[in-house]
Amino acid sequence: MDNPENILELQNVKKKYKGFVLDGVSLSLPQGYILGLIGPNGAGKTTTIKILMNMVKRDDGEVRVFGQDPQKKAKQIKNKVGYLGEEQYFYGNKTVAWTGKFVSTFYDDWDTNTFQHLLTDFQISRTKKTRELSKGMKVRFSLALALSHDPELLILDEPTAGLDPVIRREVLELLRKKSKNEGKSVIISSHITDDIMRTADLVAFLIKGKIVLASDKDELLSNWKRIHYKKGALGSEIVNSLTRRKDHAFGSSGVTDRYLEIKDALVQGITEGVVKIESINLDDILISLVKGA
Amino acid sequence: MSYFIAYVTVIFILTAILRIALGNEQTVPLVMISGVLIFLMVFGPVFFNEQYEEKHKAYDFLDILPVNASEIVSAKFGIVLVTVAATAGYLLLLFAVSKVAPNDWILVRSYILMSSVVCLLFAALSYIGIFSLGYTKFAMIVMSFFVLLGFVPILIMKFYRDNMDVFIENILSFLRQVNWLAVIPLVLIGYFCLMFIAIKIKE
Repeated sequence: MDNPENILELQNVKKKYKGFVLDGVSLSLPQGYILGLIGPNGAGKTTTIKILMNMVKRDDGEVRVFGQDPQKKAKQIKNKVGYLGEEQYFYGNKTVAWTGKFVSTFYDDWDTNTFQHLLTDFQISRTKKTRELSKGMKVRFSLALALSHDPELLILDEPTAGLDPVIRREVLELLRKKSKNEGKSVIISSHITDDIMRTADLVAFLIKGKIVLASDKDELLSNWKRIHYKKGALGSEIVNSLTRRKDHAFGSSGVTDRYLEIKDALVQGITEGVVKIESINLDDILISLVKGA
Repeated sequence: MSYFIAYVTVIFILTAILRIALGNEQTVPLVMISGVLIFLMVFGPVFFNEQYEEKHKAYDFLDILPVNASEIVSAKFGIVLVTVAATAGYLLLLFAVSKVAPNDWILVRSYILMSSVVCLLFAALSYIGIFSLGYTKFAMIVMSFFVLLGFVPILIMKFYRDNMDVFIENILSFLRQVNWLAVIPLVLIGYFCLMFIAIKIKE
């Protein structure tokens, strides 16, 4: 814990609810990186994120955000965090402008010009009441609120759920820019792996309350491959290490999570045309992990 | 906030009108009404505000902002305290300027202070109830409580049927004897203790 390069760290964090356990989650996020937290519904993503925001109290383990414990320094931490939840809550009878002014009073570094620019960029009417905003508008408005105090860390819980593809792409693009151009750190949870694929540098798979895999995204995708092979083309050791094995009319296939390690052993089969390597996406990896869990 | 100020202003004006309309001879009914007015001053802000907060899921909204639960709760308790103190002060002033008989004045002062104490504790317990159970559940409990409270006068009349005068005299004598200089600090300590309980619940 307390690695100064990490903007957030979780160590063996536990939380028990009736019918659900967050079981010893450990994660870290270095500054300037985007961490994608992937997992099926009910895996514990929201609980993990709420623990970071001190919206849920952990039962055990250690959490540091900017080197501070959210349970002790929630106000200071939230001052430097932009949060966007799956649901957006506002005073429905108040206008966008009123809400912006209200929220601004809580932050030390609120920049009204940035807020006004974001409202213009996101095409949000200042005079509209917040209850009149569509789901997409609410997400963009929340994002404008979350970005107007120049946060060092963005925490986004299923931010694109329920958004149309155009707005989804806009939101993800904005996050990417914030990280690459301004060095902001981002943690984004989603069960839509395509969002993580587009934005994240690091990925962590959370399944049934446990981190089952955490890695650099590119490294992960280099190691996880689907191998198609004819009978007898691979040694039994390699075949037995494959998951999601299937036999079909043209041969067999399976997924490996250590392609770089076994690559050399596959070269001959590839040359002879009896082995083919197929890249897989985070969805396939998630399914493999869920089925294996 | 603007609704709250309008609400307070309307009640203050109505109280003044009532005071003028009833005149000096009607001190007792007006004193009784004063207790209700203090209660309304607390009931309005606490319950209407919490209903509004629940309707808009305001605590979920506030949860993401850099503000501690203790600041939110202490602000709410502070507003109630100021409101009750201002209302009690205003009512005492209304009676003071209208030359109430010295014997009645002790009664008036005691009744207003006692109403203030009851309302303060009611507000504090209400916040604890709302933060523990949520507004909707707690409001139902309070309503049931008020319905039961309606039976209290019936019970009093049943037990004191033949000596209501004694009962009233007992109450008046209690009000005359209370040492408010000692009671008020104790009540304030109790109020702040309840505030800390409410903060712990909210956290």
